[in-house]
Amino acid sequence: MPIGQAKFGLLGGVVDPGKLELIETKVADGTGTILDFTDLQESTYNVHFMTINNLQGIDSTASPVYTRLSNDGGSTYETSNYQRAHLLNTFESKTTSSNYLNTIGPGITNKTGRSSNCYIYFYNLGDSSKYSFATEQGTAWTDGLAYQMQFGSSVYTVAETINAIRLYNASSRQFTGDVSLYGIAES
Amino acid sequence: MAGSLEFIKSASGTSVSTLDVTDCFSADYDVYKIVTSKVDLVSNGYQRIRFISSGGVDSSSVYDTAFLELTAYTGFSSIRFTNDDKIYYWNYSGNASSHIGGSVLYVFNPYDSSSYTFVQHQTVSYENANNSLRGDKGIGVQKTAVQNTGINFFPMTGNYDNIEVKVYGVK
Repeated sequence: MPIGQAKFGLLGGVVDPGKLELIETKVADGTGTILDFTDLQESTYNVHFMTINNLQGIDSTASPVYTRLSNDGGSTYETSNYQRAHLLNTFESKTTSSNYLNTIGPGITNKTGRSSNCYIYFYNLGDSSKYSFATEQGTAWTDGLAYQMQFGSSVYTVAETINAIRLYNASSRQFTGDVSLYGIAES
Repeated sequence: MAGSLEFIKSASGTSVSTLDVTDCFSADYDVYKIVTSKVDLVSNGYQRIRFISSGGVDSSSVYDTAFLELTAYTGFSSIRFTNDDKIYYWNYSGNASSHIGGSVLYVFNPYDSSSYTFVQHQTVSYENANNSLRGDKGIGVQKTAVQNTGINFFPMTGNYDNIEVKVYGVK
């Protein structure tokens, strides 16, 4: 039995805590190499949810798309203090020293139908006293040839407020795709 | 609306050894999504779950668990338990307040008295002992066909300094 205090909130009251709310949808139209989300509303949401649909390159050269975080509203993006642990089919991809947070698409190309798709949960982005965490699950094509499932976790090991997320092509190649960012309301 | 994610209930606790989320499962949904964040443990260790029915918290040996532990510093580990009295769902190994991550847990058919109750989960946290990221992805089952109405969260040792849980139904 609980030895402290527990409290509960029920749907139908004045507030509707826990609601999943769309913050923003952005479309990568193939003319750019980055996609920035600078309106995270991180003081409102403790948990963010991002969907990435139909991520593809614009030519046949395979290139990876990653994510990074910003603590200055998107003026700059952090290039260190990330750790990752992901399973790519049966391959363990892990590092305690990464320069990016997530792998969205390991090798996107313009091959018909061979898009990468995934979702990511972000935790604690707006809490300056906590590390920022993420979990991810999706499917992707490597070099447009081999299909793989991928899932795993990531962390940014600096306790500070994160207020922007960047998706970027690490080979500076243009890409296409639809990305939506949601927040889970606290109150 | 069919296909919508609908908020059902939230629950939180401060300085508690266990958290019962009662009356969150019903005939209205077959699939539930449970988001856990803002968790702070007094001691390192796993978090576990049990289901609640009209008979109370089911602590009988009817649970199986299998999960993959992912860490940034060493090889991944597959862990499994059969005929246990709980489902392991989160190996949270750090108790510093900055090391708290989050978890999403899906529950299938908990209210269906003709079906076992199944779960799958994905979690993330930070292991301060090895200064490393730690994540889990796993599955579990309660091997009795019973009408569950709630879920119980409890850590392996010690208390939750804080825990917050939100339950959604997939309509």
